[in-house]
Amino acid sequence: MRKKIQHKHDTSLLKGATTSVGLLAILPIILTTIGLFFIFDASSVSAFRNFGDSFYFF
Amino acid sequence: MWFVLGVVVMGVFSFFDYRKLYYLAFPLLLVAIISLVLVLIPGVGVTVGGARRWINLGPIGFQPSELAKFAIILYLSSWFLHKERQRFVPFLLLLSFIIGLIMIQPDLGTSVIIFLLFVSIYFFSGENLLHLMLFSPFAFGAALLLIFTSPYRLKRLTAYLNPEVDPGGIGYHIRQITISLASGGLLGRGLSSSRQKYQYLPEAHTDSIFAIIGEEIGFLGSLLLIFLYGFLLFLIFKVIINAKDRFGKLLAGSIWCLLAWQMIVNLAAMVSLVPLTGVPLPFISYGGSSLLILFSLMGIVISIARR
Repeated sequence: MRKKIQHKHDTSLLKGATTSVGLLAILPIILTTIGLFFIFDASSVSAFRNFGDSFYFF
Repeated sequence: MWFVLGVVVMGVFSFFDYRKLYYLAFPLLLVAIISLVLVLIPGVGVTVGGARRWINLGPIGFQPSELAKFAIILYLSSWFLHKERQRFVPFLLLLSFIIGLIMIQPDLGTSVIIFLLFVSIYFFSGENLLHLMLFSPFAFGAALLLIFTSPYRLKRLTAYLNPEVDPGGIGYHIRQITISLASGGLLGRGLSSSRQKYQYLPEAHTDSIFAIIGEEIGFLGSLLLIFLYGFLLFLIFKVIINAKDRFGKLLAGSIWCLLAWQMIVNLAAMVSLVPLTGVPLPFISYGGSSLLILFSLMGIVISIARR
C-alpha cells in the first residue's frame, strides 16, 4: 500500500522575513523621531536667540 | 518635511525591483559628478561656514556629496557585479576623482566616509586584497599630505592629539563635547535639560548631537541608542546573508558599510578616539539631503529583503 505524501509548508522563515522587513522600516523611523526631538531641543535655543520674539516653532 | 518625504521615498524604493537599479547606476553617477562640479561654481554653490557644499533649489538646499554616496553605492555594486572586475587602476582613478571634488569644497568628513566606503565595497566584492595592501602606504601618504597642506585640517589633528593645548580655540569643540557627555553621568540631566546647548557646544543639532543626547539621557540612554543602531545593522546583515543574488548582497553590504562607518566615525569623534571630521549621525543629525538618501537606501534594503 502506497503511503500518502503529505506536504508541509514551513512558514516560520517567511514570518521571520516579514518581521525583519517591518523592523527595517520602523527602526529608521524611530531613530529619526528621536533625532527630531533632539534637533528641536538643541536648535530652538540658538534660533530663539537669533530671531527673538519673531521665532515660532509652528 | 524631509522626514515625511524620506518615509515616502523609502516606501517607493521598497516596492521597486532593486535589480533594475543596475541600469540607473551609471547615469546617477554622472548626475552626482556633475552636481559635485556645479557646487564649486560661485553663484551656484552656497557657502556656509567656509565650505561650499549646498546647491539652492528654491526653498530647499541640496547637498551633492550625499547624492554621491548613493551613486557610489549603486555604481560600485554594479561595477563589482561582473564585467568591470579586476580593474584596480580605474577603481583608484574614480576614487581619487570623487574624493578630490569633495575635498575642494572642502568636506573632510564626507571624503573620509567615501574613502572607507570604496575600500569596504572592494573588500566585500572578494577582489584581490593584495592590491589594497599595496595601495595603503600611498593612501596614508596622501592623507598626511592633505593634513599638512591645510591649516584647518592640521588644527583638527592637533586638537585631537592634545585637546588641552588651546581650550578656548582649536580644542574648544572637543572640550565642550567632553563636558556634555561627562555632565550627563549615568542617567543624564533629563530631557530638554541640557546646559551645553545654550551656545556652549558648537554644531549642537548637527554633528555633535550625540553630546546633547549623552548629556540629557546619560550613559544608559546613549547605550540604548547605540543598541538600536546595532540592531538595525544586525537586520541589514541578515538581509546580506539571505540575499538571492550577488547584486543584492553587494548593495546591502555597501549600505551596511555606509551606516556603520558614519555611526562609528561620529561616535568615535565624540569620545575623542578619532579627530573631529564633521560626519553626521545617521537618521539623528540635522540634514535633509542626508536623511532622504538614508531613507532611500533603507528602501533598497527592504526591497532586497522582500525578494
